[in-house]
Amino acid sequence: MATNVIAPTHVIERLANNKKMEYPRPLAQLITQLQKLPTIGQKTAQRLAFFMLKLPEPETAQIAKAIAEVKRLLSYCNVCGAITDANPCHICTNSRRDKQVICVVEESDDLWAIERTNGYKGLYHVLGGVLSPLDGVGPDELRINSLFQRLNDVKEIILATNLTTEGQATALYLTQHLETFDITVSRIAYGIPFGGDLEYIDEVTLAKALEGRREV
Amino acid sequence: MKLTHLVLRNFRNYTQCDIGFPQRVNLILGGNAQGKTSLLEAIYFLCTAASHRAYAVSELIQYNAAGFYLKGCLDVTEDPGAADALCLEATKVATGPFTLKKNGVLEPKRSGWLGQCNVVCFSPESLALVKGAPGERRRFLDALLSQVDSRYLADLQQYRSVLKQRNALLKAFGRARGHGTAQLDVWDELLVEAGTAVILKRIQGLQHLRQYALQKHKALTGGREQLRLTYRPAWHPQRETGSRLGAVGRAVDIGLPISTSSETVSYSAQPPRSTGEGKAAEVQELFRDTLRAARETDRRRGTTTAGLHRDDFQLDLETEREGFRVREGARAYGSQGQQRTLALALKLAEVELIRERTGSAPLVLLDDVVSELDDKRAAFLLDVLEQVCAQTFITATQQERLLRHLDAPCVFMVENGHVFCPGASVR
Ligand SMILES: Nc1ncnc2c1ncn2[C@@H]1O[C@H](COP(=O)(O)OP(=O)(O)O)[C@@H](O)[C@H]1O
Ligand SMILES: [Mg+2]
Ligand SMILES: [Zn+2]
Repeated sequence: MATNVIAPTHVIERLANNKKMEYPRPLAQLITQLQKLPTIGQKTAQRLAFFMLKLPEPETAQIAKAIAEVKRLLSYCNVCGAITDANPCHICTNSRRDKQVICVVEESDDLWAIERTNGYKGLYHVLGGVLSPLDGVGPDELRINSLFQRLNDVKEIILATNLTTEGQATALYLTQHLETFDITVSRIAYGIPFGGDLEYIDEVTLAKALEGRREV
Repeated sequence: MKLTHLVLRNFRNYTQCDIGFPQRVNLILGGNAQGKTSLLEAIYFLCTAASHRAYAVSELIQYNAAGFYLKGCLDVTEDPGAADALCLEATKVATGPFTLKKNGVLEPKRSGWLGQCNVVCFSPESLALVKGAPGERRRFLDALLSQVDSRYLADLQQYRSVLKQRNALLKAFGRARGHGTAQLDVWDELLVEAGTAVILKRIQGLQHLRQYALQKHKALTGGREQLRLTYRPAWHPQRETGSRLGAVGRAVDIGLPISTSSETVSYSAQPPRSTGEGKAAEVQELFRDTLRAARETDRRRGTTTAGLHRDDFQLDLETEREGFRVREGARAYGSQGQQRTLALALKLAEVELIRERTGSAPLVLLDDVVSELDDKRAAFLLDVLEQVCAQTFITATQQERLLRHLDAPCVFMVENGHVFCPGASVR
């Protein structure tokens, strides 16, 4: 009796063409897209994709909507450069904030870190990076000119760039250029470990750093 | 500080090896290419998180293995203010960086690792200290100071990261729009700030090293010739800018106590704070001036030509000849014998300096050197190591001559990545 089971030809062909089985196209696409995110590798992307597959439809729609809106509804504040859903941002338009003080930070994350301390009532200016010749970033690549254009009623500038080599260089560059204005320039210093990134510092330390700022 | 136990797994030609070191003096014997140097390399790596001969850590992984593992147990009971035991582990997988653990706790930074267990390695290649380019002497000084000063490496790394940025800016100068000079001012200032900490430590370290080197050299030569050790600071306005191959260059008197002098400079482990600050200001000013003066050259060449990354120290030998004092650069004019004596004096000075600064003698690795020295020098070397009570690991291909100098060493035989202790089986 013949027990040989012969597979249909199209199956054999597919096995011969692709040595490994591939995911259905939509799933493969989701995995590829997820891998674009930082710290997400192939394995994690697969796990996330399978997780989403199992979610009820409204939930996946919510995720997709949130991702789409973050781009569509957010922009950079025309005044301070912070990421915002209103332009100018809520801080720039808040009448209770002290308009005579500007705290200069590298990125919006740093701004939010300082806001969480509840210890600062002035305005901000987000540079969008730091001086780094190695990465081709000079003063023109940062929002430095727009800072100088905001100085009319300002009495004090707090330089709150990170205490890294590049953060220090940027603070020093700004200090040298602010010398010609009649403005008090101070640098946060206290409590922040060298090489420290503002985003990851706890509130107490950060509040102390602001409190203990000194003139440069 | 004594290494009592060493484990190697997939390291060089060792697949699996587990050795106890019960004694202070260890003699490691074996034919060529059996694994003697690799054993010392394992000890060196555990102490410094670097190899003394490989360029890449991945070279240390046994061929076809996925990674290596090293473990060293140390007896630190005799060290001032130390705990009873120290266990150091180093793991490297081929695909990733290596990890370091102290008593089971991960240490993420090399600068936090150095200084736990200090080591000095002396091999025929150490001759490069005398004969080699300035970089060899800088590396020697940096490796030494990183071990005795917990902040030195971090300071140096900080300087290097500023230097990289400054060089990148100089390279981009052709393309730079406007701001170039203002930016350069900023990086100069940071370079001076970061550099000053390193410079002050180099001045102090060299001063201290010179003291011991002169003393050892005098003992080795019977005072027939005198060693001169001169700092050649490349951050100083009067630095030599031309060819450095000329044996006798201009000695720089920088108004700091680094000029050559055979008189012993009194030294206390902690320099007085008050003068330290004045000196720092002086160094900063000098370095700043040098950078400013070299700016045009730097722009043209697209790199930083002045700074402590080009420092050197010069070794001269002074002899009486027909009533005249003659000074000659050891690098160019010294005989092979004179150069070897000098390298030995420097290495012994390194051992003494570490012991004085840390209160505990370093582990000393002598790779194929004892058999190369004549009887008198070999005896002197081993005497000094005994006096400072340094645990010593000596490799050689034959033992006859060595045993004359050694008093009951622990003997190990190395054969194709395996270690045997013949003495142990007798006991
Ligand atoms: N990564 C490696 N994996 C395996 N063997 C290696 C590796 N690196 C070097 N070797 C071999 O290890 C042997 C021992 O080298 P070495 O320790 O320098 O010998 P010795 O100092 O006893 O003359 C040599 O034969 C060398 O080829
Ligand atoms: Mg060898
Ligand atoms: Zn705003």
